[in-house]
Amino acid sequence: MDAALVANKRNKEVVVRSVKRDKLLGFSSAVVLIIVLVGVLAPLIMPHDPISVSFADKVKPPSFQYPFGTDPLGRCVLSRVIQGTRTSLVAAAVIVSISGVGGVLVGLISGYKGGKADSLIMRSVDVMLAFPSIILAMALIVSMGPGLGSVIVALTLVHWTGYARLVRAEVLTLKESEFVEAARAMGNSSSRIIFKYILPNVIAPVMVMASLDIAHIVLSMASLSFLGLGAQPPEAEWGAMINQGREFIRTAPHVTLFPGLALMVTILAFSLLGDSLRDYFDPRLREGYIE
Amino acid sequence: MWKFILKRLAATILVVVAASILTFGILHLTPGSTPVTILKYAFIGLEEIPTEAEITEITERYMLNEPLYKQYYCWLKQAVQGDLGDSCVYKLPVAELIGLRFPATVLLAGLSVALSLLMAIPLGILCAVKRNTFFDHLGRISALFAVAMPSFWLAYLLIIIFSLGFDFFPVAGFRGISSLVLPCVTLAAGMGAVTMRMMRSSMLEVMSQDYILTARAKGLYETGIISRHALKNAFLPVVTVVGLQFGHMLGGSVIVETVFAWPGIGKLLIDSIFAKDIPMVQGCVLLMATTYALVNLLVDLSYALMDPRIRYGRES
Repeated sequence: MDAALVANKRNKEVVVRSVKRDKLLGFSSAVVLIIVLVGVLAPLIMPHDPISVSFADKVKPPSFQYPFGTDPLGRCVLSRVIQGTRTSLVAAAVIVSISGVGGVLVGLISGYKGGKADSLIMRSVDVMLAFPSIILAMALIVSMGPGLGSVIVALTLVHWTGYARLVRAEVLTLKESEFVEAARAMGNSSSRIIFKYILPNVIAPVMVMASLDIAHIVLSMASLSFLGLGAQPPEAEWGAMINQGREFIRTAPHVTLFPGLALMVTILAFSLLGDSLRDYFDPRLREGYIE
Repeated sequence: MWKFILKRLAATILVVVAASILTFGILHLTPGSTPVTILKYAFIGLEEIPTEAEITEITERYMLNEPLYKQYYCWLKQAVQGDLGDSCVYKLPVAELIGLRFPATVLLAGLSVALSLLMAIPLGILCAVKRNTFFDHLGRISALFAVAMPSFWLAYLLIIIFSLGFDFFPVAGFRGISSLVLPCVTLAAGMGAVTMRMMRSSMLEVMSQDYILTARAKGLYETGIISRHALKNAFLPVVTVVGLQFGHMLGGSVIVETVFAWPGIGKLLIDSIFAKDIPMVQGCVLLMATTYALVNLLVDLSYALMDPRIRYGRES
């Protein structure tokens, strides 16, 4: 193939890829938006009270009155799935914002200042990353006692390390770049350089990480609740709902099926959003390199 | 090479020591390690009111009135000698109970890793070679779903279909080979999907290198290029991912063992958490962290063996 043809083929692939990427970005952000809306509007769109127990309606299959059926305590599974969306999203938002902001701050300072503090911080990050994260979270929850609050604290303590490491690596390259040199030469203070010049440049990778992290957190939270360490009855949470339905899988699979489906769609949507955001922000892909 | 090994060995020891401090610290700051809670949960029952003598005895036995660093020192000294204390619930040495349960987890994890590699590596290579075909799309979409599917939910779907629907495999417990199938598939699915994606993208990366172009220009067969030139380099990042996945596997085993009532260390950990059996929880967490650290050490060493750039000490 001659060079022009190769270039042509390459350009074509880039265009195809970027169209695909935009489609995927549009699709995943639409699904994420719907999930967020369901979470925000939960009290308005729930057909029944997610907590009130009615033994007369226990383990009913899906029907007009109860589109997803009822659980072993006669509660509407659809309403509980909707309420669970809210639980998961609120908890994930709290965890991601606290651990994200904390991790970014640590990464910025550690990367910019360097020296002993930097190596000490990064050593401890390494040690924490060397622990299987869910096991560490479990140990933390044991010390605080089971409950959604403990899960939020534990996952926040576990998740900031990823942001710190990511941001530090970005800062190390950014701080040698010319515009930062220039800012320094103009006599800006360190904190001004960090927040005005460096921070805006690390936002994009942090957003990508946060989106992927939400998927990860929703899954960890559901796993911990499934094990009985997270949300306690009568709270509506997907993992806990699957746990409550486990004895009825023979007679009433719908009790476990629907919360699991909601969980999977949420995880899928946020990880696709993260992936397509990464493609979107990655300059290498925009300039024409492929994969 | 030796410098690299020593460095990694030192880092691993550091991690294990840090893990022991974390494990000890976290669990000893719990409300569960006051003499009254230990008594109520493990010895006399929740409703009983403990006597002075009982409280003194428990305090002495678990050294609860000593300062924390002293407790840690004694605990560590015994732990190094293989004595992790006695379980509050079973009244037997923790190390012995863990020793009974650990092989079941190793069996489960080992078979799952093997199964996932067996699926993921050929599929990843095929997807990369047949890039952008129907096969590739199908492979990638299935991987996407497998990653997003919570393992406990997948476990129930498999139970509903294969145990209750067709009666192929037992629902739970440990009854010969057939009870291994569903737990292994559950654990392998998520891990295999991640490995497959890594294999695919790593293979694509390598296939776009100049030396592959050279090999093609020499007129080598495509299969020869893939098996001789591309695979060797494409495996490197995959090895790292497999090592990291092992950590998820340990976490995942807790869930899968709970679902399938598998008598491994994950189930033991969860049972001990609910029984407030602190020495047992400590033992399990420490063992899991150590195993993870050792697996990652092995991965790094095998990486060095596979990659001459590291072997000859040119790592930065």
